[in-house]
Amino acid sequence: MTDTAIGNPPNQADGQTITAHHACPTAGSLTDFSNLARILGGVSLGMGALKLIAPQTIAGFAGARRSDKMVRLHGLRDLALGLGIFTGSSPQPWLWLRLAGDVVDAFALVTGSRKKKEGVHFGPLALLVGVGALDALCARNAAPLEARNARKGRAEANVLIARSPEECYRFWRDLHNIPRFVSDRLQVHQISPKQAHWTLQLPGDLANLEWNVESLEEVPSQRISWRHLPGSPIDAEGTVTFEAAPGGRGTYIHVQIDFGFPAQSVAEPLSRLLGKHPEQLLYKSLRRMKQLMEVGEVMTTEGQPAGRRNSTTWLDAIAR
Amino acid sequence: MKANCWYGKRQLRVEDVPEPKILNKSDAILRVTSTAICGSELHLFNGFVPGMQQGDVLGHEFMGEVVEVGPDVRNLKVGDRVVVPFAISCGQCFFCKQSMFSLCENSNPNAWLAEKLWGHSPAGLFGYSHLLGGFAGGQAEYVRVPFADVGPIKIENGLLDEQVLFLSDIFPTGYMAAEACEIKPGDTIAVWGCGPVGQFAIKSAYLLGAERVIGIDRFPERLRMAREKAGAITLNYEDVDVLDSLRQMTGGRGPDACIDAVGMESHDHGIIGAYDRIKQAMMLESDRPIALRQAIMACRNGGVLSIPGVYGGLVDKIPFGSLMNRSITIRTGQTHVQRYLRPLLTRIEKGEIDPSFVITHVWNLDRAPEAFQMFNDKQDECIKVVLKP
Repeated sequence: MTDTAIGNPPNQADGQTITAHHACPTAGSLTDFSNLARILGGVSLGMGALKLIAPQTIAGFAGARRSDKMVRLHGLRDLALGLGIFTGSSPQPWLWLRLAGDVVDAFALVTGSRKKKEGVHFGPLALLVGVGALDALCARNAAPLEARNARKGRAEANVLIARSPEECYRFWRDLHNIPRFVSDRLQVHQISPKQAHWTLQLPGDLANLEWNVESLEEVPSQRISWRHLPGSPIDAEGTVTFEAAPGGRGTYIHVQIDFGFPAQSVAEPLSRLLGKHPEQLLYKSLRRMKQLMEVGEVMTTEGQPAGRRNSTTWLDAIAR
Repeated sequence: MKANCWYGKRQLRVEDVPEPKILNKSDAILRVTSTAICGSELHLFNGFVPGMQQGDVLGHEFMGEVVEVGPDVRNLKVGDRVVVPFAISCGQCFFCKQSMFSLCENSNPNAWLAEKLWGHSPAGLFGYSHLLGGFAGGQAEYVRVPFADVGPIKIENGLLDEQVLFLSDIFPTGYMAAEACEIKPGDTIAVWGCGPVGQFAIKSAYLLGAERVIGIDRFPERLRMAREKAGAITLNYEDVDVLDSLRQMTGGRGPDACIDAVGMESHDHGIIGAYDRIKQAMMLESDRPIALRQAIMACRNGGVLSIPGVYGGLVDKIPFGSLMNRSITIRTGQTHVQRYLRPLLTRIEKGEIDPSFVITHVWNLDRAPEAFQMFNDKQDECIKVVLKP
């Protein structure tokens, strides 16, 4: 996934490829098949979870006689399909598999009907046929591989710092400062006039992520652009701009980073809930940069007294 | 050390916790000599403030002796006796530079969380939920004070703890509420709630030149204190119709300014009170704005509604049409305590006011949970509790 992405400069790939492959790229529209694919993926995940948690309710609704174990097995299948749609490099094969699943379900419905004499429950069967038709439609039209990869993630954040653009630019340009506001698990070393080596220690000291960053553009007091060089675990390209705020109020700082992984994934809602989405992390970093520049240090409560084992809590972990 | 810790709705325990350390270079550590229970902490006690976590050390009204200072502290030294404002402020940001200290942009490490709930984040506060930083409070033997050069005020004149302790919150809070009323000669000010903040709002309104101040409550001891110690005319809302009485007293026009010193747990004996209690219990609103509604309706055309009472989230059925059509100005906010420390200390030194008049109980810190219960239930004519570690 990252390999393909590295091949395309993120900025160009973003808009162009998507419009080329989508007949009707209106966001949120059902004719945008990547949205429909996500909805169907969501249905898979939801049904999968329901079948695992309440197998008898589902079997009862369908009017089918099936053991808990069998329904749960179907649930696992649905979860796998849903995950595939969200995380796979293309939703297409998973959507065809969903259609196959619909056929299996329909067969189960007809043969496993509880009251043979009264015939099949037509409501659930009609529903299945309808969903199956959507699966087929979506699988035929879903964006192929390259288009999916071109759907990049973007993080943007803003902060107003009561210092001049010159000071803010200089602070950012001094690579020693970056770990002070991004993460204390980060190390940054200049390796050539245009390149720096970044090392991020993963939580629990499990491993280090390492990559090289190349500076693309540096306009003193105005802008810095950079990109991750091929071989990075995450493909990314970013720009920070410094703009004098009116009335001597300091500097508007705007950062935009385009990531080479899909914008939407199953990880996204969870990371947002935990306050760890790239955009949220970027914003929190900028707030720390503001503290460093305005008061010289980052306020903490780590190590303070509390009537519990830890000085800070899960809520602080989400907030910071 | 001993510290009063929060473990859930109406569950407090004095626990043995680690002593505070210098965590930021501008920190100071205080040995607490006196601390108090604030009415706004009853909202924590009753579980109405989101973002509290088990084991949080309570307390945002405290004073003591400096026992340690961080490497960047310039204005304080070991041995200094100081009172500490409840809001933590950096002194450097846009808001601090304009003396809006409770809106400091750099003191809440959990600002992102507060922004989710309120749009933007105010300053961090001591012992007042993780939305406001999750800072350990001062109902303890020792406390860490961040930005020690900015907040604390030195007390060097031999005044008693009880006379200066309330500079930390309730005296400036009542004062700021009265100042917001832009009092002119001849003004009548009505104050909802005769708790400690209400008492100081009444006193301050007189200090700022009000002709008449009317205190509204239902507890006889609080009304008595408002009359005898603060000089108010009082209304017991269980005996009289407040809106009618205020009209009668002002020739039908209404008070020139109204102060809501009650906040989110307002009480009413009638059907309105029951309505808000049910809505709050069902989480259809987070705050009960009964006094607030009444204060809006009572205020004269073009008057000021000043709100020092604490609100946390959403309120229901606010007569906004009344505010708009009658040109009423609303002023509210957490107190910018640092702005008032010096001038109010001067007033205490000159003998214009002795803030200790609100104290009804001085207890040992060990009994903090019991004191919260008593204060909450208005038992033993409790109005203000000072705790000694």
